[in-house]
Amino acid sequence: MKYSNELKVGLAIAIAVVAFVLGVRYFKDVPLFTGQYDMYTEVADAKGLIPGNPVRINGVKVGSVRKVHFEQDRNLVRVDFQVNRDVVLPQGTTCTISGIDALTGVRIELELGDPGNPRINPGDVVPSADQDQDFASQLVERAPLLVDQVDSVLFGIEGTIGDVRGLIGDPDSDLRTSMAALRSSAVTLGDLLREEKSNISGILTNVNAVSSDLSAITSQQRDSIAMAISRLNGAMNSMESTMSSLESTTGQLDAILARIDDGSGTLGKLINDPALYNRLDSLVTGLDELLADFKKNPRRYLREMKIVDLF
Amino acid sequence: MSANTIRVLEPFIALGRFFLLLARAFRSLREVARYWKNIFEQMVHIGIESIPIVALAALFSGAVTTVQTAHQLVSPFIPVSIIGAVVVPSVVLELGAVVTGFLLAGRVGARIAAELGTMRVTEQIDALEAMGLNSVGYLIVPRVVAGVLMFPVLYVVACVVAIGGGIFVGHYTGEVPAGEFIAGAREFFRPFDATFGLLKSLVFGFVITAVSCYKGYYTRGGAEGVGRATTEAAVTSCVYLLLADLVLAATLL
Repeated sequence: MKYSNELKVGLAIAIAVVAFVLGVRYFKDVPLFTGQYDMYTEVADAKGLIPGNPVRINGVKVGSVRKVHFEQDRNLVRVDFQVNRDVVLPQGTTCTISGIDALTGVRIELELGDPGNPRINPGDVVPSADQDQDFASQLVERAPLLVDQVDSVLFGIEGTIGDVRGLIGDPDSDLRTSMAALRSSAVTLGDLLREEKSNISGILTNVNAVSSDLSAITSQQRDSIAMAISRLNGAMNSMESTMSSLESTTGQLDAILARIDDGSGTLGKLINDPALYNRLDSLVTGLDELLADFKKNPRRYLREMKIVDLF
Repeated sequence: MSANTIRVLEPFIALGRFFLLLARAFRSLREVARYWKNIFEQMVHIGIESIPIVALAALFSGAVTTVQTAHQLVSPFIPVSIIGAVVVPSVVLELGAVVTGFLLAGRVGARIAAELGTMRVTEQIDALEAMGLNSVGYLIVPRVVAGVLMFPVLYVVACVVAIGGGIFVGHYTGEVPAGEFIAGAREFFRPFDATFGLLKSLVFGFVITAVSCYKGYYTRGGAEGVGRATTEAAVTSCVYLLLADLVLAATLL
């Protein structure tokens, strides 16, 4: 069968239109064939909600946010959203905006009311349960438990206070004497401080003046101090060289002493060799005898010296 | 006027001739009922017969986009569903319309220019005029109308096939499960993207068919002129398509 051009074109356009509409609805994540109805809520803080964010009941997506609009005159955010037609919201339903913007995306969570209640009409407001109210309701739920705990704590405190009172009431108790001693110490310290107030302040003033004088002097004499330090430095340097030459001298002296000790060299032999000493000793003795003899009878010697007279 | 002056003014002369031709085409729109049959014929030639090649190109561009996006996402902290969130908008916004446009600039633009050019150089257009037919209404209006009407259809086909190909390839290469792909795409889907893509394809359809008709209608110089007109039609359509793409994106996004 030959299809006419009109049929081909018509079919192609029709299929394309259907595919476009269904495709957009599919990726918008709205049900392809069932409709939706509008609801809205008013919150103080939209927490980054934007159109297209999901509306969930117990974690299942049942709709999407259509419009988020700030109403200036009432300082409220009105959030319009759509709910799938097959979902009925009974009276008492509340909604919360939850989720973290960057991590999971923000969403509206619906908390359904009693299923026996009549439904909220499409287009009406779903009251928002703000986080604050949530906290309050949590508090109410936990209140009895909390009261019990507070009670037992108070009971304990009561006992403790009784004990303390007994301790304080007893005139011989350590606590009492310690307290009294502490009080008298404190009084003494206070008196001392009061009496010496002027002295202390005078001392402090003096210290202050001294330190400021010192600082003034230092700043005035900065140049000469610097010069003195540099001279001292130079003296230290020359002293260092002196020390090193002294050190080398000592070393040489050491070597000489070692040689003397060793017995080598003239001085060493003189010191160490007893033979030399003995010979010197006998020489001196001989010389002594010679001089004595010379004094006794110089003629004997002077005769020999006649040759000298020739001159 | 000297030859140089004419060379400088040539683009403006061409532009003026193009818009005068368009004006004539618009005037002929009220005779559209007379050329009804022609319009449907052109719609089949331009639209229906292009579906296979458009679908093929879209299939591959969608698949390649998916695989390459998966290849580029190396960080373990980025969920794979982001692939869907990248592929679907790029197909819907850009690839669907532009890939289709390039293909049809070659396929449809060249065909239109060759047809009209041959008719011009064999003096069939003059013969039509001599018979009292409005040649612009008879030859150009049906082609441009067919282009404007059928391009969005081809765009939808391209998008569906490209996204389908992306999901298929992503799923079966193990890069991204189909469910994750769709979840990611839904997370970041903006309906305006689709509307914008549709508008783009409409404009592209008009640009390609109008430019090609202009090139064919004013062909000169025998068989060689027809060849030149065909080439110019394809190339010029592509250039103006890209220009229109930029202008639309800059003004509407």
